[in-house]
Amino acid sequence: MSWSFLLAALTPFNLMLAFIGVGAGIIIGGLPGLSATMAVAVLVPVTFGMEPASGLIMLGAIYTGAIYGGAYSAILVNTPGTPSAIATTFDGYPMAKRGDGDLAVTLATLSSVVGGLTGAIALLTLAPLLATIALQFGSVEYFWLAVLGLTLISALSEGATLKGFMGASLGLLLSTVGVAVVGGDVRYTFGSSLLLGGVEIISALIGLYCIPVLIDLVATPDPHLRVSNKAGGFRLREAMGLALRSKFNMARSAVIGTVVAILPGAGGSIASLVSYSEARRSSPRRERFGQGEPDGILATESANNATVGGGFIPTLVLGIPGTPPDAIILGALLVQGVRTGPELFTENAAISYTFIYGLLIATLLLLPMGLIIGRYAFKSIIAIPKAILAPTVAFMTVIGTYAIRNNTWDVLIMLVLGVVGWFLNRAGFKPSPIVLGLILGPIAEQGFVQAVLMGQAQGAVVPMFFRGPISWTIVAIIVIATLYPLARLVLGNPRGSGEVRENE
Amino acid sequence: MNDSTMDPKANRRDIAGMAYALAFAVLGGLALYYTDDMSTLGAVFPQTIASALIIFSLAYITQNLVSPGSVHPVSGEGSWIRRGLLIAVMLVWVLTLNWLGFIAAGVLGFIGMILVGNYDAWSLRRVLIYALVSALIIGGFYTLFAVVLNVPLPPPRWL
Amino acid sequence: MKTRLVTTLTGVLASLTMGAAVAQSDFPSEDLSYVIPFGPGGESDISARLQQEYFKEITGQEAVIEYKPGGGGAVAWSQFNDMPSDGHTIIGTNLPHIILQPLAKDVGFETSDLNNFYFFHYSPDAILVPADSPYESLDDLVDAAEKAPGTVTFSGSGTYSANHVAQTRFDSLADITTTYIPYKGTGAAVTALKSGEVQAEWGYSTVAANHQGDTRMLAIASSERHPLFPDVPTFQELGYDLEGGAYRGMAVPEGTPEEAQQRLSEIFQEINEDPAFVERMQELGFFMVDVPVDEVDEFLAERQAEYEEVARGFDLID
Repeated sequence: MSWSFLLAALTPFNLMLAFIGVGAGIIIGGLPGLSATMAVAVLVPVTFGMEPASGLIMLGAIYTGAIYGGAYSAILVNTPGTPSAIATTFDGYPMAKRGDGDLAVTLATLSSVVGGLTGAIALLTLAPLLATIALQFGSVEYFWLAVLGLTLISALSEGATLKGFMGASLGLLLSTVGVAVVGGDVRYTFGSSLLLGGVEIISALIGLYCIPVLIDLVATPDPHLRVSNKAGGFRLREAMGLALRSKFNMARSAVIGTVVAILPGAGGSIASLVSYSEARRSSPRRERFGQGEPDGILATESANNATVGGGFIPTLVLGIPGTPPDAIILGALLVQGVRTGPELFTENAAISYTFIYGLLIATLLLLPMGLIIGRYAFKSIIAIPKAILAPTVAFMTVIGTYAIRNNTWDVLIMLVLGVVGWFLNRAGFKPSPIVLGLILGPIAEQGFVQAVLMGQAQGAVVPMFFRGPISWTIVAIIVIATLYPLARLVLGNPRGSGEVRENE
Repeated sequence: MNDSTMDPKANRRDIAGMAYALAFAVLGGLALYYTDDMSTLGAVFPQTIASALIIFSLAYITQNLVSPGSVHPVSGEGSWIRRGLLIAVMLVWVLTLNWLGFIAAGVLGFIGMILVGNYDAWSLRRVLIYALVSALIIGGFYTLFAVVLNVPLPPPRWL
Repeated sequence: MKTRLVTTLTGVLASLTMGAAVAQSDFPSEDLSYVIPFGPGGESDISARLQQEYFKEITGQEAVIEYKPGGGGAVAWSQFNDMPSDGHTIIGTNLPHIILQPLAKDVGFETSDLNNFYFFHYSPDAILVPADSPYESLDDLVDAAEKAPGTVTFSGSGTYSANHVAQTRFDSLADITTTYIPYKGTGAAVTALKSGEVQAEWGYSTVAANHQGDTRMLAIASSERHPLFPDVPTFQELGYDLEGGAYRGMAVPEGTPEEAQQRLSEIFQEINEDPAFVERMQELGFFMVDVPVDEVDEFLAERQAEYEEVARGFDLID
């Protein structure tokens, strides 16, 4: 870790790339309908003419900017910019609706920087060590992890638990549409090539969250969001006060984000969901979660930006992508002739360390750029007349969905799911369980079937599912997570708040 | 779908919710039916989930019939016509994407959405400004995606 | 440099000559659209990007890569014949995918729907084990499988894929029973290998090339040893008639003029013969082939026969 790498990251060219990357990433992630994965996929070819380290810096900057930017559309339009921002909508949008949107954005900025730095520092100092964690998780562990994620969904739908479960089941069922990895069946496509590719997660995300917002947006002439009475500005001091109060929450969420990202395929959505759950469970203001509680945003945004640095750990050390954008970046590296693995920290150390320092710089840039862009984002959402806001958002959903797989049918699926989602939402079925079911479905199914096959090979299927300390730990957490609310119900609630109430 | 029930504490049955639950149960049944063609391994997951869906749905209906909770308050305000039009405009937009091409379908869709979302009085100035802004937005995105980033947006097939 | 100049001049001359038969004055007269039926970062993408460089040099035009992932390639292949057929749109094709997928299920296209014009390389099937595996040689593994049928586990990418086919064929050639566990993509399959969840992997030499530090290849399914791995025997050397892997080629939409197909075949053949290109490919673990447009039908028929045998084993056809 010599200083020459840090200096290399500070060259004007690389700094400019970091700057442009972060800016572009924030804007792309912030626009509802455009996503981080799409941003990276579409901008990778641009980096082919550059030095590997520079190209990586730009991609990393775009990635971290986009993950952060996802908070904007989550807070202001109730549409997560990426799956990692799903949990940010829980408290972000309610805050915006009551006039605290600018505060929410500033909170997101602060916690994203904290989380991003944590992930990047982990990458810098502990990468080879932490990468071994990735190898401890196999099919069985992933299956239980997915089940844990599903139980968390239920916990978040307190009061409407059955509806949450129904939504999750619907999402899980949707995830089976298309070609199955295990078994090779083509399921639920009814012979058309429309559904052959399955329901793409981002198109479902955009559809289920954004379209209902659009539908209700045009229904009334009232302004989309309320503006708070407090003086304009970043409300930075207020935000910093809240952040300091919640420092343990942010730190814990950052760690969760980093660790979850190390598990290939787990991704930001799971990380932010788990940290949100934890934050809620241990907060003295538990009841306010879901109605605009700042701690919620601090938790989710810290976690999801930590996944950027964390996800690079298995990607660079093991050559196994931690998250979908990492897979694309890995491919870009291979095209450039840079092989991953131990070489990346020995012979090619220049590339890796320059990149990591560049990522740190990009993360730090989030603070000033985020605050400035955030201010304009907030102001413009309010100022733009609905007659222009609606078509623009609609336009972005169309192009943003199309650009993921260059497939017009994805756009149709997005719209159909969106309309269905709007009807369901009115009846109390929230979009989050459905999307989370869609995301966790493949992980659960593949883990399950692979474990069964392995169990059969050894002649004992059920013990397979309880191999090793990690499986046992996760199962224990699942049991506790399921029984805990039940226990509170039965034994009486020490905090005295009502347990069964409709979740807004 | 029921309209607003302003008193959430009333012990009303959640009709809408139950209706959807029923629909879900039917969906689960259909999903089970279609697992016939699948291999054993491929059918395991869908069968489990479909069964779970049916169970949850029936459980919800039962729970609601036995001890109704509060109904999810839903706002009935707002123009239904505009909502319907928005859906129609977007549907036409998406369905004609491949045939009209990205720009043509986009322009029509954009204009349609402006009309659906506009509450202010029309004046020449407004028309001109909106036209300009639309051109900038559509043109800007098209240039960025199709030209700069080489994303293959659908070309017009009707020419 | 000089050879490149000569090559370019020859290329220009050839295109001018052929041009008379093709509608335009020289072909290609504009950018080529190169559709990849998978997402960015995969082997198809990497190969295409390498070809892109040389394509530009030879023809002066850009080969613009477009991704159309979905259904393991099926989405793009099923929609391909609707694309412009003037010769400036091509799609990457993969074997066994384009043969096995339509056999196994209704995927919206038939193998014969795709007009392939060139096959340029393949990733030879290979058995990989972790670097610290007790299996030192292929015989060790076969012995273990014989002693305890079904207990030796292999990871691989997908079902009815090249990996799966290789496992099935080898099992029948060696008269053993092993368990194949499909994963989503080669990345996941390698992870399973490294974490020790499975004992071996049916992958490719390209995987071994990318993970040289912690994996070993026991055997490779190519006609001769790979220059990057001179110590790894081929299956044939060891007595198993197993040769093949994931082949990559390109196709044009229905209705593309024959002259354009011929010209495209020649251009890509030229790229394939460039020593620098070959070296880059081999460094990544690929094995070159050369199947120009007039030999494509025969080549596909051979592969079809091979895969049909395996498909019978899968109960996909009678």
